Amino acid sequence: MRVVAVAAVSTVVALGGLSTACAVTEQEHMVGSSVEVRWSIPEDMRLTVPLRWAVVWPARVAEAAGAEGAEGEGAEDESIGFALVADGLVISEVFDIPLSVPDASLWTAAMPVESLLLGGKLTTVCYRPRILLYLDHDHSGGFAPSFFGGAGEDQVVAIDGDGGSICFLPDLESALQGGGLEFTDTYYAMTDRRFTPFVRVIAYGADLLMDREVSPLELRLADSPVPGMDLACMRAVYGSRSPSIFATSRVSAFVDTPLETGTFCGPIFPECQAISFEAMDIPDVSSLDNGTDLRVAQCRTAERVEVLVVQQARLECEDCSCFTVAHSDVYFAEPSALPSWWPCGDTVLVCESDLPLYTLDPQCLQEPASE
Amino acid sequence: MPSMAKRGPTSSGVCRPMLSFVLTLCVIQGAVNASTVGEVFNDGRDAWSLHDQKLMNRQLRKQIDNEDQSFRVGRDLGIVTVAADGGIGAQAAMPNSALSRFHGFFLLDTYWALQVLQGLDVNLNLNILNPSASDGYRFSSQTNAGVGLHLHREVATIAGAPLTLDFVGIDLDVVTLGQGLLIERVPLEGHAASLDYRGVELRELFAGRSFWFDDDVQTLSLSALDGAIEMLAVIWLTDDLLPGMASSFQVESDPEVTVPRVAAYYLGASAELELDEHLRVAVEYSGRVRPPVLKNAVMARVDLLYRDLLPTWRRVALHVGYQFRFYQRGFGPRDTLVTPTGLPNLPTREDAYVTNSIEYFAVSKYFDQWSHTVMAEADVSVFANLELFGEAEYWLRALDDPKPGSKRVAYVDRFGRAPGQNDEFYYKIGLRWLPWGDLPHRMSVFAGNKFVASLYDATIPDSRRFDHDPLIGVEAEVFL
Repeated sequence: MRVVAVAAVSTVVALGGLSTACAVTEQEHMVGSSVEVRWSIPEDMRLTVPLRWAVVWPARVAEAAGAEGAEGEGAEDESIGFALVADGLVISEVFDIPLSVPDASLWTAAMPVESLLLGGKLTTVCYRPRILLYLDHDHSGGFAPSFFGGAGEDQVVAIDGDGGSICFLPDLESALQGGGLEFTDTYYAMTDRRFTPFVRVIAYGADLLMDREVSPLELRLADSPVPGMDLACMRAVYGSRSPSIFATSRVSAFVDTPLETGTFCGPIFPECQAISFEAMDIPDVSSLDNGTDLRVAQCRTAERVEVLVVQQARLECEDCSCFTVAHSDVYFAEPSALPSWWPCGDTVLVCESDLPLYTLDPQCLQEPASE
Repeated sequence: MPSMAKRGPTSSGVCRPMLSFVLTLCVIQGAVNASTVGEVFNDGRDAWSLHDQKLMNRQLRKQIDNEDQSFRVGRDLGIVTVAADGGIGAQAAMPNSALSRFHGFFLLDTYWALQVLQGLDVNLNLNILNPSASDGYRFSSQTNAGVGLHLHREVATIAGAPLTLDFVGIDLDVVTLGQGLLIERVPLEGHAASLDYRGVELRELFAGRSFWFDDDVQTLSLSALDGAIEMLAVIWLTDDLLPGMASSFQVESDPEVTVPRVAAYYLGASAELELDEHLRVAVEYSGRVRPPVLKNAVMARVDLLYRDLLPTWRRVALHVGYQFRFYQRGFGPRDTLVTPTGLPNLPTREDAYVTNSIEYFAVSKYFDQWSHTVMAEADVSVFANLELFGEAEYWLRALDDPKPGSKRVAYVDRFGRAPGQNDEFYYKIGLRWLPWGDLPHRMSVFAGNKFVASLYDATIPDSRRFDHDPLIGVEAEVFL
């Protein structure tokens, strides 16, 4: 096991005491496991550097300075780092990631400590290693991010989430003992009859529930700060994880010169201007969704006007919080004098809707049902 | 010369030729109510042990008409027959042990039989009990009733021999199928019907709840030589629950939710060979048929029983037995791990062995199970009206997952970590005083580690059959 950390993981604090060490000795015969992963990429995202996978344990680590001869100095010497326990090059759309039973010194320092529901009100301690995909910008062949105090360039582009992840049960024996036979039966049903401390889980409120391993763990790439922040913030990222096209928008209106500005401008559009559509810069109406930026265009028609709505949203993150900044440009054109670049009915769908002309109708954004 | 015989020796058979003064000894010798075990229709009691035998809730007059039951005050009341076994008991804990639920109890086990017509009896068994005086004055007193309608008629005479019909329902009282490989000494409700001709009996039995909240057991058996050999077919129905669903269904059964039923089919045979009046061998095989798969189980039991081992010295009763059981992985009736539960949880359960099929069905889905059990009971009269009694059971169990490469682990109640091997030892030893030497009423003080386990009410299903902490028990019993 190769270990990488901001501070050497050999100095991992909170060894957990003899009791936890004893618990692990009961599991010596346990086998490791593996998780099958399938990844996908948005249409608008391009890979220009090698894509690699990694299994990472966020953990409390001792600061290097404090670790030298400073044993037991307390929490002031601790910080959050990570241990890299497996790393590899992604070579196929679906692949297996090996999971090995971590040393007690590692999982007793792992963060956060979570609880797995065994049934009823019974829970057991559980730790989720992070399974991530990253862009190896420095071509080092190893995960070196910019956070956790590191100075690397690698960008996390996908990471397991609450909808599907792997949890490590450090004391599986006690869980089986305390959970009773019903939990035991559920456990083996979920692990495909394997006696392994790694189980697939989904989040259920503040707890975790076991999930059946019927399909690969889905990881969707995003050219977004969220995956990296999710790792750095110990899963505690607040707000949006992807840009929302329906976020509160600032709306700008543009009225083609043949039309009367006063007919369209008003309190709804603080920014409203008359402009010759033929002379203006052609707006970009191409769809965009790369995990951070989102652009959607939609056309609407009325009795004496055609409307083009271009909404752009961008995910912005800071200090473990993310939010969407959205902006709409609404173009009003005379149907009988449309500019040459007018995309409605051509590259942009015309939506029949009763909603206000300057809004996007979500009904028209849905994929048409297949016959 | 070995002979096949109807199950179980009877103490009355031993007593009959003796002089009247010896009857006094017969009254107190051996287990209470043991004399007619095996003679009652569909009798699930164990004739080959020195455990006390409760009365059965049918054919009450037949059970107490024997000379050794002459102390019964309600046996000569015309068309009504009444009997009652009553007892009170208390416990004292030893260091680091906990009292069982019945640590300050009374139990009045009453039987009422009304002969409506010749061959038609209405039987009422009322268990009036209070499991614990610690709950408050009469706070947990309860009465549980069981009614058994018993029809028994000769329906025809064929070649000079009668063809008899028996039907009983719904209180079946204690039920044993075959030699106990599937169900042994479990109180059940349902119905049983049989036709018997010259010792050849065709019997059908339905039980509405045996080991789980959702199971039904349907059986058809054909026996000969008064039950010495028997073929048995069983359909064991359960809800088709997904793993982890049992508790939620058990606690919050929703009538709107219908769960599909799934059946386990069994075919088997058993035989009981009485080598002499003191020695018998019993075997049983059963296979769970799920083509093309057959899962097997087998048991064998040997018993050596003396109700009066040293008649020229003083009364010594002795039983020594051995039983072997094997249940192949997947033999159990359900394919989801759901711990079986039993009820009612009454002190009379202590008159059965811990070794019981119910203990093997919890993890049958995962493990092959073997066990060897040695049983022994003894009663020795020490002085006049004072006897020493004791019982012991050593149970060695092994669980193994035969699936190649499988490393599955499960924790089983009272066994611990499986796969593995475990042994348990149960005992009870004490002194019994019979103040009226010619009557069985008695007081006992004993030490033991086999006490019936119960939740708050005796009728709440409990996966634990026994509490195993060592305790001192004091009991007083009357037999009316």
